[in-house]
Amino acid sequence: MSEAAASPRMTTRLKLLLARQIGVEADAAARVWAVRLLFREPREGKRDWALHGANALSNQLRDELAVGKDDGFRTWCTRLFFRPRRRRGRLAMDLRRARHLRAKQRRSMLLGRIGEWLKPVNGVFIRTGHAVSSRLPSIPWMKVSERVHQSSETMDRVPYLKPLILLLALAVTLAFWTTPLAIADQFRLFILVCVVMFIARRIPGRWPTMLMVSLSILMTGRYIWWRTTQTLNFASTIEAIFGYILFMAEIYTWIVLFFGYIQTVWPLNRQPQPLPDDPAEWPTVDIYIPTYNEPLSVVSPTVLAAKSMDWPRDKLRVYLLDDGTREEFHRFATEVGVGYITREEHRYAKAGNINHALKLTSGEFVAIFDCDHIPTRSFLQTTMGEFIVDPKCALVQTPHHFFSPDPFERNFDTFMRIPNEGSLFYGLIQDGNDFWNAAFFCGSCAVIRRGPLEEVGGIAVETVTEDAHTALKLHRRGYRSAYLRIVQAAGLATESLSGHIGQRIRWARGMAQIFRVDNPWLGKGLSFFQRICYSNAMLHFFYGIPRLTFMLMPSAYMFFGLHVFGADAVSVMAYVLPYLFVSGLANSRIQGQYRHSFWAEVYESVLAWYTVLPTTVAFINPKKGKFNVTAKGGLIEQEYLDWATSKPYVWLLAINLAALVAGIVRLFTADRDEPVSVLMNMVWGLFNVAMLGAAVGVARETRQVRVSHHIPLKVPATLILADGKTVACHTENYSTGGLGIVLPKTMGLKRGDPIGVSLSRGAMDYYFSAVVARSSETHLGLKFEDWSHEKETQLIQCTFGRADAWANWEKELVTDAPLHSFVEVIEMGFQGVLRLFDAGLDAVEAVALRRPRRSE
Amino acid sequence: MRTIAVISSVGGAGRTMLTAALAGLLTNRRHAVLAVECDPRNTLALYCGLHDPARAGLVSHMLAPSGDVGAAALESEDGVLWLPWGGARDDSSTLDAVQAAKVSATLHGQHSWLRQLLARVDLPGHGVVLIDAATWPSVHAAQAIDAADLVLVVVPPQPLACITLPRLRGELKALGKATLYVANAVSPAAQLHTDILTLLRNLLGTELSPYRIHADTGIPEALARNENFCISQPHSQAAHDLQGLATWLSTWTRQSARASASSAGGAT
Repeated sequence: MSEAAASPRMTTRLKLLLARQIGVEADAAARVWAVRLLFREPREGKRDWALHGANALSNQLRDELAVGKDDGFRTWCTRLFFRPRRRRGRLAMDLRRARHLRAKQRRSMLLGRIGEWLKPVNGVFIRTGHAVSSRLPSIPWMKVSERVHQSSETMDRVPYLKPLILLLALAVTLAFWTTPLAIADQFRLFILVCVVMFIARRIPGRWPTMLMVSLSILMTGRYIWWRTTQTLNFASTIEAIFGYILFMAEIYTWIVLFFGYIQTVWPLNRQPQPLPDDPAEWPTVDIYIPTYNEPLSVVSPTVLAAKSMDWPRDKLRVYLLDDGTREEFHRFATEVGVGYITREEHRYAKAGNINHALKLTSGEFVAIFDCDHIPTRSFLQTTMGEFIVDPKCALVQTPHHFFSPDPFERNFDTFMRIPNEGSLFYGLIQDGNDFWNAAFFCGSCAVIRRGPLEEVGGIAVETVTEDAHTALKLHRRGYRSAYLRIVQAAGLATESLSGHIGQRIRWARGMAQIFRVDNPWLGKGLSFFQRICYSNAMLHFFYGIPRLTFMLMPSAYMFFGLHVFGADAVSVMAYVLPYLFVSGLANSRIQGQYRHSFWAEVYESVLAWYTVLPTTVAFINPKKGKFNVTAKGGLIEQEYLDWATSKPYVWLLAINLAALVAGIVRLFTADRDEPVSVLMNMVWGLFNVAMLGAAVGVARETRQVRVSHHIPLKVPATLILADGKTVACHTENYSTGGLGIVLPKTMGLKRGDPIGVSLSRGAMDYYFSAVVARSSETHLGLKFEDWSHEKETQLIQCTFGRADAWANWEKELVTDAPLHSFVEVIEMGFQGVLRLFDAGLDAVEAVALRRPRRSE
Repeated sequence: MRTIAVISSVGGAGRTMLTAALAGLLTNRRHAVLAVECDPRNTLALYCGLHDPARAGLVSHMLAPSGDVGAAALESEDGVLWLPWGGARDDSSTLDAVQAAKVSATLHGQHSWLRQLLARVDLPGHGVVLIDAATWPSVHAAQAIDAADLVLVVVPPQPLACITLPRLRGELKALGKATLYVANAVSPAAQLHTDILTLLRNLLGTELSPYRIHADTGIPEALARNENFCISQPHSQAAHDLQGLATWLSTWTRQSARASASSAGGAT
């Protein structure tokens, strides 16, 4: 007994003695003991590096071996040999979580990070730049451009001068295009043009833009001449076949480039016209809201907003055109007091729906809204003035604006950072079309005069893009159209990539149909430039085959050694580079904030494969093909890679990656004598890989945290708590009968707490009583009490219906910087490849372990 | 230096609260601010941190005009100068009959007594004097209006305020005073308030400030806790409204000072 008691006492005493000797607490952790055995305690005020290191090491080991804080020695031993299963890490970055890595300018992450490192150096450069530029005399460019404008107007009045100048310019251009130059001189020309381009880039106004476009035309022309005369010599038939395919694809791009320059030469920037002072003179307007299968929660805000537009009550009639013939919609229409129109047979989808309603109503004008485009109260007052000023005007179109991110923006986190696919069309192309009186109808957010519309037989039914075709018919009859680049309605973007692609397929098919059925180059009634604008709008959708050609061409050389481009490397550099570079700069200048450089390639790469078949089929037989309705208001519960959609790109990517490998092999074996050709093809292939990577990356659908159909919405609001206190906050999203709120700080509100929320419309406050439905830190979900159509109307009026609701959309766009954009696109491509790799591993894991895919 | 009188035609409209809050907010906007109380209720000092009614103030200066009026002023830690009505004593009585008669005689006899007094105050830069006056109509309110460059009429959304408003407005128009009407203690939940606000907007047009101060139970609570409402509850809507109003007044002060300076420059 005494023996047993003595031995622990002995150990304790021994331990205490030892502890005192090496200077640790007796009950300290084993780690501390180990450290102190080797390192003495540092002097007062010094850092204990040894202990720090040991702590870090042990944390790292704990993390690596998944040992808990309280686990003993035994666990450590077990874990050294038997590790628990852990989650596989992801290679691709979560772009949303990594958002903070971007700098303030919302740039690419790589540039953001580099910018952060180079901040001190950069600061010095910027400051020096400012110092230098402040010393330089400043030129009032706006005044200069005004003066140029005036003098050109005076010159315009001189008879015969304009055709003379144009003829002279044509002669000079032709001479410039066809004059042969030695390679060295061609390079010198390139450098000279570049210098002019870089200077012109810095000068604001439209004349420098024209200069850049002219230079681009000159350089492109030189390239075309050289390409046509010098490079079409092939050694074999098979090379010739591939070579001519590439040449055809290039011809397509030249046509689109030149037509594009003409189309956007002078964006009109039209302003609203005033209405007569007396509202009694204002015309009557019917508002059509066609719907087919969309839920009422999507349609009702549009109807209520349309109903509360600022227009004399007796001259505004709203009609809900329900092709689904749903009792619920009928009841809703009756309750809110709008017309409800259905039809027996459902031919020609939306066009048929509208044409049917056209027979039953009698307003002088027809405004058409897609059922999810919520108009602002000022829509009619902004657009109708145009019709009154110009009696020949048959159509006024406004932009389609989306307040939710489309699949590109969501999956690549580019929302509000990089202009989306539609920005270019509504920001620039329609405005450019307007100059040539060729702005066309886009199916929604537009007003049409009834007379002309009935004259052309209502909305066109021959094609699936009834909107553009209707406008074409109106233009053929000599009517005018107008485009106002003022956002007066906003809607939801397509939710999933497959939906997005489906919509584009429809547009592509429809445009190809119009090209066949009612070709703008044939028939009467159009001016030359209208023909150019229309045909460019249609040709745009034929990019499928050329894009795929460019994606596969490097492989022709890498795999089979086919020389599809009959020129040596140096002359390729002397002619191709200037052409690409100068036209890239010119386009960057024209498109500026509406489309960033290289993003067109990304958008087209994603759609190319899918538009090839529909356009080709429609081109051969326009009758074939059916209308597909765009799905809206869905939700994505899990992150996943849309394999079905991305399959073609995975193949193309595999081909290009294999071609790169083949290229490397070729570099060291067969083609040691012409490494430059191989390298050039590899650069081309790498660019393709980046584009295809981006295309695959888009297919990885990011999870959307949603429970029902929520519309993003940010307006100031006031909360009135049960104890009478007020909180200034802003709203986050809206769904029928509910509102998401962001609080300035956590308030400790609980589910079920009664609460009041007040929104303002100008000076008026509207109060809504609600209860808290969900509450997490600063985010609050409210559910309205005694919700009625009247209340919902008030809410719409304070939010989406406000005249200034979307006034800032253009200001939020970021101007293009080609180099930044290039890095961004490459980064997206890289991330896309990594995403594909991750998804591939997931799939392998799922198959191998027969487990369902992870939900994270 | 600009003088702003805060008046209302009904009691309990929130004049003193508004004066005290605006004094602090204008100081934050880099104005030198003097808040003067021209109201025998003598409560302004409670808003600047005093626990008891003030003793020194306008009255004490009036009764013993030998001293400097500045000596009666208090300075709070945010830099606002406070000149309360004063006259409180230990036994919680106020003035005796003789003194009351003298005060009354001064106020009734010299229409611009307050203006002359304030003319002797020299605030640097874009200084602002805020006068919290007693309920209109009264001799105190008349003194304040006389001294003011801008009259800030506080209108609570109550029927009585609407009924008395046209007379007050008529008088201010006759005097040619620049006027801004501010709705105070508005609750969006109350339909009556919304209706009265619509009525006021139709009546007053642009003279009604777009900033309506929302009703908030935090305001009396802050007074009870001896806190500055805008600092202790910065996220409340009422504090946001007050900030908006203060910015408007700050801009007005600078613009009108600039306008008068340029017109004076043009004259010489």
